[in-house]
Order: sequence, then C-alpha cells, then structure tokens
Amino acid sequence: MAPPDHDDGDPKPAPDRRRFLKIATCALGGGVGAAVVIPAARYVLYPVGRRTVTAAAEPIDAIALDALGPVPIKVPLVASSVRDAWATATDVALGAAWVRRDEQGKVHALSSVCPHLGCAVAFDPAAKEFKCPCHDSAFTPAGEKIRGPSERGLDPLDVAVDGNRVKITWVRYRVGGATREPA
Amino acid sequence: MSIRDWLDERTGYRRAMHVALEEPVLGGASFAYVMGSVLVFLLILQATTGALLAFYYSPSATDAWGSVAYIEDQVTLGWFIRGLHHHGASAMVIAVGLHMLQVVVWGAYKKPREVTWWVGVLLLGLLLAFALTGYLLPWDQTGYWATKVATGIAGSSPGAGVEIQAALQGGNEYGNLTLTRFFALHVFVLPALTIGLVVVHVALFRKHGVTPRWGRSRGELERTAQPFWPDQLFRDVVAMAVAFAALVAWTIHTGGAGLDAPADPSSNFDARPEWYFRPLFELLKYVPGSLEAVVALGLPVVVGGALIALPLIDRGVDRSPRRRAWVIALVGAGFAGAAALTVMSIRADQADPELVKREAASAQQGRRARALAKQHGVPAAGGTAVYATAPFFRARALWAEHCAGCHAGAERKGPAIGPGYNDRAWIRGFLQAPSGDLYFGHTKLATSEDAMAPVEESGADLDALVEAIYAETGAADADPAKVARGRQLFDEGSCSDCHERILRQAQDSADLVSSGPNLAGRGSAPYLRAVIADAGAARFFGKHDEMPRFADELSADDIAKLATWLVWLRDASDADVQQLDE
Repeated sequence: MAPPDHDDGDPKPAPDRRRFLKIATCALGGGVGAAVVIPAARYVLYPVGRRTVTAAAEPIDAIALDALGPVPIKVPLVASSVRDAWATATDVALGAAWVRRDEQGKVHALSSVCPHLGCAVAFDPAAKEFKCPCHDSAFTPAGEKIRGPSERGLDPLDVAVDGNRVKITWVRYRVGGATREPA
Repeated sequence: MSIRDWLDERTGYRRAMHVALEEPVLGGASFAYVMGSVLVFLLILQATTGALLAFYYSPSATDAWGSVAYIEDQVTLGWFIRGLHHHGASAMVIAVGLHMLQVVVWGAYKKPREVTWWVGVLLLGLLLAFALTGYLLPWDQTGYWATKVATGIAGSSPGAGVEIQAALQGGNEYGNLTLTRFFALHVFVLPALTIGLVVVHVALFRKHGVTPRWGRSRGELERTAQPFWPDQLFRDVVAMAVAFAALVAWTIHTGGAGLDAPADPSSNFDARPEWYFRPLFELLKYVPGSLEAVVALGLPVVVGGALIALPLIDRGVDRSPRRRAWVIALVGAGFAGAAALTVMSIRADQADPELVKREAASAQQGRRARALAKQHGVPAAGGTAVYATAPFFRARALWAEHCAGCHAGAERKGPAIGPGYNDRAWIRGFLQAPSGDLYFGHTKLATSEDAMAPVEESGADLDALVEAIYAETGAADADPAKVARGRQLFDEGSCSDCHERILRQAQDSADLVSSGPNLAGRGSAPYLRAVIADAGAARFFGKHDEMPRFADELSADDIAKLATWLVWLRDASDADVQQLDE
C-alpha cells in the first residue's frame, strides 16, 4: 500500500514550472510564518499601554505627625493591596517618601525617586540637601534642583493629615524631562 | 559589486545555500518524504510558542497556576499561543508515530541507516520526556495529579526508588523545587539534547538520502532524480502548511489547551494522563500493585529496547514489507494493542456516571477559579487561595460552620435565614405570624407567654408598619411617607407596649430596655453585629435568648463579615446566592 515515490511522470519539469514551485514555496512558507509572527507580536506586546502593576490610588497611612520635624525623614509607603499581573499581594512597599514638617507646621512629602534616571535620593543632614548617589544631582530640602543633570526638582507627593496620622498618596512619575507625568 | 556579492565574499552563503538546497532527491520528489520536514516544522513551532509562553510563565508553586491563568484569560491571544503549544505536542506525537510507521514499512532502518534510526528512537524518548515535564508546569489539577502518578511509579521502582523520586520531584514533596526542576528540564535540558540529536539525525539523513520505495534499481532512481529545491521543498512546505492549518483549526475548535482548577493536594481528583499515555494508564489497572513499577517502567524499556534492536535483528537486504511480514505484524500488533487499551480506557470513563459528574464538577471549579483569578488576582499564598477572593467567602464559611445549623434546614432552632432575610416580604410575614414556622416557631419563645402576637393592622396600615421596620435596615428605597405613618402606628398602637418607641432612638442606646427587643436599626450591619456578638443582651432577647454569645467565639472582624453578608442577603435571590458559586 506504499504511495508512489514520484507523483508526476516527467522527471525534468520545465523551468517555468520550477519557477512557479519556488514562488509558491516561498509564498506558502511566508504565509505560515506570518500566521505565527502576527499573533506572537500581539501577544508579546500585551503589556504595552497597560497598567500591569496597580495599587488602589488612595492615601497611604505613612507616619505619625508628631514624629516629623524640619529635617526630612524617609518613610516607606506600603500599599495595603497591590495587583501585579496575575497576583495580588498585601502590604507591598510601592516606594518611599522623604517627609518633613516646616515652621508653619505644614507637612511636605517628596518622592525618593530621582527625576533624572530613577535612583533613590538620600538626604545629607550635614549639607542640608538631597543627593542622588548615581549622577550627583542635588536638591534643596524643599525639593528644588541645586545642581546636576536632573531637569526638574524632586517630585512632590500629596499629603493629608488626619488627626496625628500623616497620609501620603504615592505616584510614580516618569523619570527624565522637565515636566512631571505619571509613569 | 552587488550587496549579495559583498555578502557572499564574507560569508560564503551561496555555497551554504547550495549545499542545503540543491541536493538531488533520488527517484524524484514525493509527498512520501514530507514527514521529517513536518516534524522539524512542528519542533520549531514548539520552540517558538514555548519561548512565547516563557514571557509570562512563572515556575513557582504559588505563581505557576496564576501566570498560566493570566496567559489563558488576559494576555492577548494567550489562549491561542498556549493552545498551539499544547496541541502542537499532540501533533508531534501523531507525526512521530506516522514517521516511525513509515520507516518501519519502508524498511528504512536497515543498513546503512541504523544509526539514524537509533537517534530517532532517542528523539522519541525525548518527546515523551517533554510531554511528561510540560504537563506539570501549569500546576493545575490535571497536571499535578497525573504527574504525581508518574513520579509515584518512579518512586516505587526497585532499589533506589525513594532517591529517584526525590531527584525527580526535587525533595520529599511536590513544591517549588518540583516546578523549577521540571521547568529547567523542559526549557533548557531537553531542548538542548533535542537540538543536538536532530542535527545528527538530519545530518545522517543527508548522508544517506531519502529511502525510496523498495524494489527500484539504482539506475532508475538516478534517472528520475529531482532537485530538493524547489521540487521536494515545495511538497514539504505544502505538508507543513496543512499540518499548521489543522493545528490552528483544532486549537480554535477546542478554545486552546484549557486550564483546570489550581493544584489542590487536599482534593480528590480523577487523574488522567494525556491521550498518548492512556494505554499505559489503562494497563496499570490490570496489574497488581506489586508489579506496577515493573510494568510501568519495564514496558517502555522493553518497547524502546525492541526498537533499538530492530535493525540488528531484521538484517535482510530486501526492504519489501512482504518479506518482513513479522516486523509489520509485530509493530501493527503494538499499535493495535495501544489503540485497544486507549478505547477501553475512554469507554470505561464514559460508562461511569459518577466520574462524568465529578469531571463536570472539576471543570466547573476550574472555570470558577479562573473567573476569580481574572477578577481579583491570585493571592500571594498561591493558586488555591483564589477561592478566598470570592464574594463573602469567609462569611459563608463562618455561616456554614456556626450559623446554618440553627438558621437553615428543618432541624433548625431559630428563624430561617436566607435570601430575602429582612426584606419587606420577610417582615410582613413575621408581623402576621411571629411564631410561624419560618420565624420564631422553632424557638422556646414561641411557646412562652412572652411570645409576640400577630399584629392587628392590615391593608395600608400593615404596609406602613412593614415600611417603618424595613427602613430600620438602612435600605435606601424605603418610602418616607409610609415610614412616617408606620412609626406613628408603632408608637400609638400596641407595638410600643413591648418595644417602646425605639424606632426613633439611637441604635446603640443600650440602656433602652423593654420586654421586646430594641428595634432601632434592626437589620442594619451594626445591629446585626451586635446581635451576633451577644443576642442575650438586655436590649435584644434577654432571658429568652437561645443563641450563643458569638463575641466569645468569633473575632470582631469575622462578626462584621457575617453582618455584611446578612445585609447583602436582604436584596438577594436564590439565584444571586447560586451565582456566587459560578
């Protein structure tokens, strides 16, 4: 019941026929390739333009009001719940804020993310300025840029005071550039 | 100098292309020779879709199921890519079966192609290893339980069974190390071995050329030779396209690979292997436990050994199948036996209505788990924790454990509580028959002298009274005019003889004690919390209370969850409650 080895009588087909076979082979092969590559590209690019890591955009209870003074201190901002692709996790640190209370008693919070390229800035109490450990940008305690490659000052975060509790709304801004846009 | 010349001077690609493509196919191109190319194509497709799955897959016991559910239900075309990979494996098993069958019938394993055949047998083993390791990776019920059986068999092998099992599963139990291990094997080790062996297999094939049909002379074959490119490659590509189209059609028809509920070691699951392992699965039913390892491990070894030995035993020069009837008969019997066992196994499953029911329930649970995962995400504790994200999951569990015994079913001791609890109809029914079967009929209060008498009001007055009590639940749709009228009736009529004029008092005025319960805020979440915590408090049932003081048994958080659930029940129907499980 073996099928024939050879399915046409002419062992030396005309050049035209062979040319057709070449074109048909490439077309068919290309078609199969495209049928794989196009869905694959859409699949791989799924996260583009999607918020794959999300936390409730609510103020996060950060620290007691009476713990704050004029010198900024670093406070981790821990979200009660974060959705990260398929997973949900509780008590996840989203980032950190540098928080201080000015002479008038007003509370200010700055994102610890350097607006240049995203390293974490630290406050130098001796020099009384924020310094970025990566590319030497420096900022005043109020967050204004003093020197370095950053195109803008540190990003302020919204603060709400509820009794003795300080609540901060976390926003991750896009790094680079002079304007502030949520990432 | 053209760009092509420039490139050729530096790479020699023309010569490489010539070597790769211009080989003469003795006896002419034929669709009989396409199977190898189809297999190479399917292998590349598996590698491609596999790499794509790795973009989202996470090999850990807590994340694997969630990440596959994410691919399946959220990533654009994720179900399609995964479906191609899943069914592509089956397609490879089918194509390998046809390929080997053809080689057997053609006698293509004979001199000088013995080594090509042996490498092919090793590739068959690798294919099955791919299937075994890949089946576990989604960490769903099917993969988990079926693979448990497989590693259990390995663990029962004589001698170092325990050590073999520990090496396979990465320790004493299934867990993270099982998945990282299976993942490493499936994604790094097996592909590397496969690529190596495929290169050897194809190189040997090129060395010896196609095996033409038996009984044709060398001269005739050379006279009728055609070039590989394009004559044979065209046929190869047509076959690849047909195989691909069939695979795509099957993937779309089945909706992809499917994904069961997350692996749950505490559940009962009817483990079933992939269809190509069914014969072995069925065979094990007829083997006593003591011989199980011998059969399950021995049979593949015997079959593999027979395949390896084949070209050494069947050494005649004549490739005609008629002269090798015993080989054809033996292989045919093997295939027939496997097919018979598969049919028996599937028939047995279909004939068991209990199994069919359990499988339907498992499928339903899988859909539910995936719907919850899509809506709420999978908690960090892992796949099975997804059930706890269902609405009222904790409250309903508490209800079943602590409340249902007295508030549901014929044997209950208190008022029946369910969908519609504290809605207008419930309140009306209560007012008309406080000691009725659905209300206090099952309590000692009903037969005491303090039992409440049915209210005397009827018509519009009863409506108003119902509305006033309904308004206490905090329901937003209470009619203010009716409520006002109802409160007036309440104060002026006989209600306030026992319940005082409590409808207008603050909800937590605990000092307001009358012979009947304080009804302020009755049916609202704070009221229900207080009743669950201590129904025997003076402002509720006092000396007539028969309900336990749950403040002693449950946390405030749990009591609050129960109260929220009871409030939700007010506006819920039976169908709404059922929907919580879908």
